[in-house]
Amino acid sequence: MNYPSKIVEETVQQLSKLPGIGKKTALRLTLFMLRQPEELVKPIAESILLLKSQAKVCKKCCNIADEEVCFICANPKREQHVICVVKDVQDVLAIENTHFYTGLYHVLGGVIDPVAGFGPDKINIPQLLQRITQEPITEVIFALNATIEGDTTVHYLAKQIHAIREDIKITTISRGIPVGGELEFVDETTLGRSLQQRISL
Amino acid sequence: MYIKTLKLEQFRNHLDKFFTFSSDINFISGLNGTGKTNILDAIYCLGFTKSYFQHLDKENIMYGKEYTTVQAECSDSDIHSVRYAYHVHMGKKLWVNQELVKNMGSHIGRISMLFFAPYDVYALIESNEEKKRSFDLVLCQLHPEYLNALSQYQKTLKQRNALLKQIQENVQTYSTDLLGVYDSLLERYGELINTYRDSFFQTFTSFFEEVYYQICNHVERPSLSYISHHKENFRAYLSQHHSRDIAAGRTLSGVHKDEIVFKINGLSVKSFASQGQQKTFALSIKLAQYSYLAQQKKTNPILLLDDICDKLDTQRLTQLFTFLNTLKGQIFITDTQKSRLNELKPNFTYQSIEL
Repeated sequence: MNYPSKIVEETVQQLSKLPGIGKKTALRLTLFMLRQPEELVKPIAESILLLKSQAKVCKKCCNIADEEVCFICANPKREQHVICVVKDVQDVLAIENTHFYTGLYHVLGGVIDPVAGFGPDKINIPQLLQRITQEPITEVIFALNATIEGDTTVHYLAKQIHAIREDIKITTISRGIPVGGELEFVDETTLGRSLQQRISL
Repeated sequence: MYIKTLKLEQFRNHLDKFFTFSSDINFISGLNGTGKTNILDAIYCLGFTKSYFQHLDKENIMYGKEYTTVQAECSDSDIHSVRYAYHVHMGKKLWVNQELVKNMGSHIGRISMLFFAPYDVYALIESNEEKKRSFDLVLCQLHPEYLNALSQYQKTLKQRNALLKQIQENVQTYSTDLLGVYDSLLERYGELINTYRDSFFQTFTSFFEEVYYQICNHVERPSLSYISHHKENFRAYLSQHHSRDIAAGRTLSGVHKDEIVFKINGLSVKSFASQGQQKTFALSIKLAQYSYLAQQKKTNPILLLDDICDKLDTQRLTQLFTFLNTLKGQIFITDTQKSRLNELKPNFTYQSIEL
């Protein structure tokens, strides 16, 4: 594509580096910003700059934070003896939005996936094990994806945690039928599993 | 169930065709390149949402066109119409009774069918992988749990092999813990796969022998044996052989190494049987799979037989058609010679379709 201006072209090139943004969307965004008053565009640019210079990774749980320790870890009202282990920051947000969980988190930043080149050394395992030794943890909840990679990570970490402290309760979130879901549309594996792990009334 | 009518639109070399079928034997004849096999493959697409010949979906579209559709009316209380469509931009879609199927995987097995192509003779006789694939297809149609275990096993195997390779190349440090996790997952899924295969082959052998004897009159003694490579206490076995697997860079034992051995009169079919014998053997395997599926599902699958008359002698052909006539399901047969069936002087009726 031939752009009318070098500056526009450069902006399009930069924006199209973002995930989910192609050349066309990038051009649309660029032209939009070009037409807007400066008060609207400047804060966008500034917040992006601030993001890189100010945002930190929480020392304890590896979540994203503004301070050394994230606001969840810093909150004394959260239950201090439960850790929920998740893959990404997005998962923390998803669980927070349920309002059903009041404990702490640990963000792994990935799962064990040798095919993709992710060994146990590439994810935040040492930090988790350190917390197991130092904090008064009684339960670790795994909320990882129901894939082979997720399962592998759960089994591997369960072994490591129990090697440090045998008394810790280790659980995983249950898998089953979505709320409001109809039985006939649920796949057999999920339905089978939810029968095996049924709940008594 | 059977297919009453079939409408093809821009499907490979069929621009716009409409067929009406009989509920028993349909004999499709035509010269080379008239699209006999394509009709069978279109029917297969309705059951499995993809081509039997592992063509890409976009290759189902007639050259130079943008989309293809295959539509069938069926005689079944559950399923009265199926429609498969593939569009270069919008992808694949499937409708059953005019309702869009959201999960394609859930459709597989709802219309059971079996395909037999000339290539299957070569594949079934020569390649152990193809033998297993063919039997896995039967087991997957019957047991969703088997399908799940098989796919989980393969994913785990891929991860474990990647890890072994990385340990071998010193990218990863050797840790019994992580390999041990894969070992226990392989044990869990492998055990399930093994149980299903074991009990399947125990009953399947008699199905197979019965079909074979009907086609070739007890002159030959066929045998089929399943050799399992699953081990007792598989997890412990794997962990004792870590160093061997690391040296090889892959997992050397487990159900993925299972073998199925075919013999006639005690001799290997691959090395000692003639082409006609190999064809009889492979065809008997498929027809036995058909009978097995029919008995287990209590319905008669649709049988798609591509070019089966080639290489078989008249005696075997007559016996084969006598056997096919005893089956209750709908059958499609393709051939280049229109007169072939009449020459056998069959004692049954069939519908002839000429392209």
